[in-house]
Amino acid sequence: MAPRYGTRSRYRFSPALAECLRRPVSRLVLTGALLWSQPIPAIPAATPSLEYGVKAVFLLNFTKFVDWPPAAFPVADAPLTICILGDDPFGRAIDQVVEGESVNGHKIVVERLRADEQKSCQVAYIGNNGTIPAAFSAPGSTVLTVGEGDDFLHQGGIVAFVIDSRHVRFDIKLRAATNAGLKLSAKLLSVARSVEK
Amino acid sequence: MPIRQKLVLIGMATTTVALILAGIGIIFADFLLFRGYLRNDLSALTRIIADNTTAALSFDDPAVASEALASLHARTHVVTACVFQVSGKLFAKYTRAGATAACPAPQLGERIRFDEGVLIVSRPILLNNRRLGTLVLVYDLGEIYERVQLYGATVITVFLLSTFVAFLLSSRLRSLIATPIIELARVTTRVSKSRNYGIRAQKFSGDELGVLVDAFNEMLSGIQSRDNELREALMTREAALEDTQKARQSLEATVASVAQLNAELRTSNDNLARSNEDLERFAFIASHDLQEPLRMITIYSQLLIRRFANVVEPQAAAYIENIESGTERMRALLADLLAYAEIGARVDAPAQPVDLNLVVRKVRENLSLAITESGAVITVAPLPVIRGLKSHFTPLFQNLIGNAIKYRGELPPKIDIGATRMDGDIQIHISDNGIGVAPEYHSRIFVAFKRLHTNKIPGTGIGLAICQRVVERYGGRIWVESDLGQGSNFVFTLPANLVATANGEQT
Repeated sequence: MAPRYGTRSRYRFSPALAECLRRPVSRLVLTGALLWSQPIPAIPAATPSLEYGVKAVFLLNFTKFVDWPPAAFPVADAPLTICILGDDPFGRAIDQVVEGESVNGHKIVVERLRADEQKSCQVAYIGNNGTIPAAFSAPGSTVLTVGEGDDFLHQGGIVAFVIDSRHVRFDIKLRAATNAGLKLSAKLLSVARSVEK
Repeated sequence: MPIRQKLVLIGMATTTVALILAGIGIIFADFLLFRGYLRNDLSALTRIIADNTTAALSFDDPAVASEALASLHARTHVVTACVFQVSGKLFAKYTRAGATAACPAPQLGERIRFDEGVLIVSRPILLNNRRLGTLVLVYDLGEIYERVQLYGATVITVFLLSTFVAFLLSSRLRSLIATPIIELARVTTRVSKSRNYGIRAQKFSGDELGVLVDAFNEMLSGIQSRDNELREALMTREAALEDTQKARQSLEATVASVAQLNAELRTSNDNLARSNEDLERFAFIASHDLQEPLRMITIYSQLLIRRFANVVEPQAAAYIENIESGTERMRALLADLLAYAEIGARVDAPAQPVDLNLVVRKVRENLSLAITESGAVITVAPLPVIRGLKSHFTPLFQNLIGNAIKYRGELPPKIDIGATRMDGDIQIHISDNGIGVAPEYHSRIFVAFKRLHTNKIPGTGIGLAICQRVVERYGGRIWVESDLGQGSNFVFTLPANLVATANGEQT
């Protein structure tokens, strides 16, 4: 499959990633190596799927294109917490992805919460069958809510993973982000599959 | 080459060289500046592109990266641009329409290098200081060469135009300098050919050329005035020369006539001296030879009186006595005349010291009868010793002292003799208290045979003439200081070099 440069291919997988995704789980190592300068250690066989490996990387990368207001952190050098509410589809993969990572001086940590648990989070992943806690969707919550499927945005979420032509993409609801007091980078918007006002 | 062409040449050469150098400088500077500018420009451009691809790399979206790269098509000199992943794998690529360039391998740091007509920029794509990949951009340097060509064409056009304009301008402007110089050269040639220093150069401007013209004119007027002065001086000199020649001619004539006069004078002088000598010799011989017949007359008249005193009548005896006294007077006259002539005669005898004191003593002895008779008192101060002949000085003093006694007044004579030194002379005086001499006769008394008292007092009339002759022979003068009845003071001088000893008495 020859790359066709100069044509619009927003809704298509990049050839490199597509190939990776078609390959067995161990290929994720390659994907990680492609995306990051420091190689991700081999993911154990217990990893749920290649799809969530990619999503784990995306979760981390979101933190680099989102501006949190200083009020979002209890102290200036507090860690940036990625909370996983309810079921955890990532397993060890996400821990390995965020290991040693930091954004703007905030160390990135992963917290797994029960669905009803209340905690200070900057990013909240709410998997399938989960609902967004009211505290996270409240105006000025400064929580980047990430979920699955088109419905998530209707619930008031900000970013929703979608599978498009076997590629992991995401949609963004801009008003929800603004409502939450977050500023999304134009670059992030440019790579989103669709941006809802 | 005339100065007009030289000036045009200078102007053109200066313009040409300046333009060529300026053109080269501009092109070279622009080349360097543009390279620097291009470097900065591409650095900024790649930074923007790299930044725009961070999200695409983060979320694995090559389409977005390609879109970001596609914006480069506005920069026509970008040949190709590629985004590489960290692994070195090509992520996205842009190629200029019609170009088939491959992307060079990515470099680790930011690098810009020139390579065979292209500029290759390699820039890491960073996000939060983490490297996501590398952007490589190939920029063709045609732009630079286009610019150089454009500049070159501009410079050549400007060069040709300005050369043309410079030619026109310098053709016009050269007259500013050339015309005064040519005028000056023309005037110089005219002056040197015609030697007319009245010509003046025309002044065109107040600059250095004007100053030159002024100086030249000034020089000409200087030469002119000097020329005139020279001519006048020459004329004056010629006139003066003529005068001098005339004066010399007249002088020569005068000299010739004077020489002739001199010769005549010498001749007449010689004649005179000869006749004078002849005369003196004649007088000497006459007075000497006349004595013999005179003595005969005297002897025979005495014999007549002695032998025939009783025979002759008293009347005849008286006549004979008259004859005798007459012959006696004649004898005295002849003796004086002889003495006068002797003084003038040449004497071969050498000069000897003559003590004037002894001379005076001898004279007093000679005149002792007259002195006794008259009761004269003679006082003599010490007199010098003179080199000369005793036979000359004895008559001198004897005449003067004799006169002093002879021409005495009522009182017995008082005669004073003395010598004083006056300047270079010895002055000797013989003064008396006699009858004196009236001033009108002061010079006449020294002439022979000029007697004042013809009959009253006997005398030959030669005495003072002898005195004058002696004094003048020794180079002195004799005069008298006197008035009638006031006594006389006869003074004569002798040159001091005749003095042998100041005072003869003391030797």
